[in-house]
Amino acid sequence: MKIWSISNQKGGVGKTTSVVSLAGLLADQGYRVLLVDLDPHGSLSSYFGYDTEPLNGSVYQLFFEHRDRDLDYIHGMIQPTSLAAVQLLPSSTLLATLERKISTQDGMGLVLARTLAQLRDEYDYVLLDTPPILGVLLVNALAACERLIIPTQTEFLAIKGLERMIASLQMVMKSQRRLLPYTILPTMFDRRTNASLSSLREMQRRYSASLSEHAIPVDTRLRDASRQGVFPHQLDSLGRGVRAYRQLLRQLQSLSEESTQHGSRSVVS
Amino acid sequence: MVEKKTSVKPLGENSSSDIDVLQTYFNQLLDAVPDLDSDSGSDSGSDSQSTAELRISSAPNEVIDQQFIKDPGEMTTEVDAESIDQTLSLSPTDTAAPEISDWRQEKKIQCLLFTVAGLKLAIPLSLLGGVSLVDPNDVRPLFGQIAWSLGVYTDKKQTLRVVDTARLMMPERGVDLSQTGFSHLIQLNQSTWALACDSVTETLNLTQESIKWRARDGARPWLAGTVISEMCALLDVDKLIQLAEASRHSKNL
Ligand SMILES: Nc1ncnc2c1ncn2[C@@H]1O[C@H](COP(=O)(O)OP(=O)(O)OP(=O)(O)O)[C@@H](O)[C@H]1O
Ligand SMILES: [Mg+2]
Repeated sequence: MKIWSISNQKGGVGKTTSVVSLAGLLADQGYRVLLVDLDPHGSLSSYFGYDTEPLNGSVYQLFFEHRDRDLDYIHGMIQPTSLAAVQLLPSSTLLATLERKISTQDGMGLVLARTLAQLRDEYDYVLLDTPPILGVLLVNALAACERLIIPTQTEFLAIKGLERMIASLQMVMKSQRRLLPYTILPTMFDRRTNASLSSLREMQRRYSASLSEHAIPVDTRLRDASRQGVFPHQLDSLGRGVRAYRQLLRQLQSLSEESTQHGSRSVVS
Repeated sequence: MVEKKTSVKPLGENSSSDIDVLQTYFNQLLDAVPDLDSDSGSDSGSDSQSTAELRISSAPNEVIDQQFIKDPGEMTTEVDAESIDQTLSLSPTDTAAPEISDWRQEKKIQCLLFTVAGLKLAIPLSLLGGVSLVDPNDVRPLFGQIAWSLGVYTDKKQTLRVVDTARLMMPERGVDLSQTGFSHLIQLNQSTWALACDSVTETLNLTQESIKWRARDGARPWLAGTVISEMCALLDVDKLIQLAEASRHSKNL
């Protein structure tokens, strides 16, 4: 089971869009995918029509009463999506209250890693959608994943959020004493604008080793898919956005093959 | 916990101690594994397994340091004030500290919205003790209680006295939550009182302008004001607790 977290400490950069696009393409390749919505705003959950408080529980409940160890309970929480191969662990508005409810002292950053460890035989890929702020939820995602994908909007000031994200990532690596590889994904790229071109150049200059080979272009079809609650490849399998995500996915898959060959172990394999 | 000394330090400069504070935050969240040897019983097996896997992935420190050194531009350790600020505000010590200032004076008031029998209510997060998803059948009615008592609910940690929010706040409507049901309990601050409600909808960041504060002492002591954009009642949690406590002592059941 491969766990990828799609995160940036900046909002509106295409995290949720990337999660849904990649999930659809993975399902297309025949993989079983679990999506985890760690954002209290629940935009990933509402993408699939889960707009109300989930009655079977949500990520929130995992933090209490050792439910991260209760496989039956976890199974009960998982919801279907419009694709049989893709399932969802939904968010809850209550997640916004989590920081106040739990202590940061007792390893609460490992709750998600423990939960996913129990599901390791049931899915091929897990994609984590995270809130754009540093807190217990983002730390849980970083601690559970084996690769971080950082969507970064190609515009002025985008680098700031990216820097913050990388600083957090380094701290997780120090705490966990492991390497956590990451891929920076330029998003909403529009070659006609200066802002797009110059920020992409800046990313290439500073982060060339970790930069994705493929930028995601601006593509209104991605927005349409979100509005209709369908996976982007279902709406337009050959659209520019979907094609870019397909190339990205291939690159990520070959990267993760490389790292397995070189013996770098993942957190939860 | 994030060290206290830093909360008085002006934020803005990215000093090494800011980074230390953040690193401590990460270490605490990630290093300890809770309840490994406590009474977790039969599931302790799977737990130690996942812990073991987390440890397997441990690489020697030097490896990480090498990566840090590899490309200083790429691996910046710069941390800006905003994220420090966020982290400090996450510290439980901060929320647990005695409230010196009245929550009403805060520039920003974060609230949780919930509904009861069609009524929308807001409670400040700073005065929210917790939210539990419950089965109404697990709330045990008690005899001789005031009309708006639904009984008591016991979870692993505590026993809560459950208030029929509809009966307390709008008795004129004649709604009885023990008949119509409810799904969540909203614990009032650190008290043993909890409000039964139908659904929890969202959190809101309120500014002073978005609230119409109520002039003191009206027919509804539990009402602190109105959230203008949502047209919903903002609760006065302290008054609610006082009201509930008073009912326990009155013989007027
Ligand atoms: N490549 C793209 N082209 C055009 N629109 C896009 C693209 N990627 C995302 N969007 C749109 O931009 C908006 C923000 O995207 P998205 O919700 O994926 O960002 P996010 O990082 O998850 O945001 P948040 O931080 O609020 O969770 C959405 O309306 C989405 O449809
Ligand atoms: Mg999102």
